Amino acid sequence: MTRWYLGLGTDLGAQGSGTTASPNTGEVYLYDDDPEEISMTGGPIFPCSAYPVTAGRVFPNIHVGAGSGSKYDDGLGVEASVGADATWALRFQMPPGSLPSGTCELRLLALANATSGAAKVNPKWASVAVEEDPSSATLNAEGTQTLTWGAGDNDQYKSLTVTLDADTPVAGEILVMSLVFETSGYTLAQVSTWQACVRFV
Amino acid sequence: MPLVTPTLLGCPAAGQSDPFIRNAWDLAVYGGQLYVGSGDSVNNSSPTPLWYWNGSAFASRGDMLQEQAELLHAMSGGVYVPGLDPADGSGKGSYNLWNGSSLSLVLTVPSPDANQVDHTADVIEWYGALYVSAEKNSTTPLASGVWKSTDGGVSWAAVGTKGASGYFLTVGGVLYLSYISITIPPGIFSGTFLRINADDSVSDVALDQLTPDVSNRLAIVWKYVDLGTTTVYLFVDGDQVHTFVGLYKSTGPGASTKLTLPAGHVARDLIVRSGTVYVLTSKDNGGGIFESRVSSLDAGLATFTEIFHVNLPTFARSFEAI
Repeated sequence: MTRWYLGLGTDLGAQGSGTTASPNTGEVYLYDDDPEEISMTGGPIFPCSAYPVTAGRVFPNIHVGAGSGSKYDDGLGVEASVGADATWALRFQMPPGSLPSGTCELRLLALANATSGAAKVNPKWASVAVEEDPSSATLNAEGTQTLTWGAGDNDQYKSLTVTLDADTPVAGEILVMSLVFETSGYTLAQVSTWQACVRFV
Repeated sequence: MPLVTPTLLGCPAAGQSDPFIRNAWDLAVYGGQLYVGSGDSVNNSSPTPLWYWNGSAFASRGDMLQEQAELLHAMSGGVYVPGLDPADGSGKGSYNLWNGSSLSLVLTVPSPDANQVDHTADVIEWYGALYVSAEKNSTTPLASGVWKSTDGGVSWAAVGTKGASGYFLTVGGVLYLSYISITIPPGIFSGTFLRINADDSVSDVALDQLTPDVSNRLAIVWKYVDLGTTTVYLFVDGDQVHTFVGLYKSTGPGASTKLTLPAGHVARDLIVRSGTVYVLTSKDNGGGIFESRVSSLDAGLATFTEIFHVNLPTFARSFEAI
């Protein structure tokens, strides 16, 4: 899949007398040779970097399901009953060129051996360009999100999607995120394992 | 022939009423983003914004104190924009550099007198150094020339003693300058080539050694792609609109061939992706319709295979692919 860009010109009008030149001069056009790829959807884009900032409260983890089949899911581990705000630092590389036209969202899948409780999570992020310092970027919070477990939810994928509109994602840049699991209202009393991706829908 | 309907992204310099200023002289890709050069050095349109596509609209990285962004070179240090008619008032040649986070004006070589316009016609990274081709419209003998910096553009030293200003190209691992010979008192004769040797000495290369069917013409190499052993280059007149002369391939002086373009077409631009050369050509179909065609060249650099073409009210001067 290639995105072709064409920049229009004119040979008329040099010396500042360009009234006869095409009014289209200077326009830039895009042709994508794979139309399936220019739909509004895109992704998923998985983290190219994930670091457990709050040691002890978040950690790399493998959720092991109770079944006998493929039962291992590795991901972002979070302690039970989070005792203080705990952060995973994530990085997502945006594709070059033009981003899909759909809404940018963070999709979180979570697994826990739990049938009750609520997890509280707040994605804070910014789009950071190459040659910029991610550690100096001001992250913008999407606000606290809630994911609730109920009867029969043990070992099942739970899904939470968050629209990422607190900043603007930019093609070619890095989406820098602190995924903060907040202690306030966090009642999930089991260790949980999370998988994160960014997608356009 | 796959006629396609492209999507109009916009016109970066839409605010300019003079269409010549809006010319999309060159496109470049850096950091996954598209950059556009515009401007008019004759009509003195400074400042010239450095346009880029931010994913939803064209925006400016900042104003460049030069009248035209005719070439955009995406190299390891960023996007280099040679200072065609600089307007910073320093009396020096210059280029602008977008390094991924900021746009800066880099002054090159000083003027030998106060009443002249200096151009930095071209800038290139070559074996860890920067080379510029600086033009000085003065009566000082040998005022134009090639200059080299090994400290990132802080200081410059003359390379050779030729009064040459033009565009760089690399062929077979050697740096060349394509330029229009100027003697003092001013008199333009013809395009020619200068070989810049590894020890920074220079030597003449006759025009027909790299453009075998051309022996005396005011023409220069404007754009090229270096494939390692072979280079493909676009040879154009030294006028302001770079009227097409020919498209060539070469492994070195005396080993150059002119390519046969699709019938009725002139070449406008060329790029290389994953070892494949792509060429933008155009043809005036009459009735206010121009066909702009993107083709690939085969491994032998002889046969054009169309990728697509568009029909628009004017021709595409530049192209890029991501």
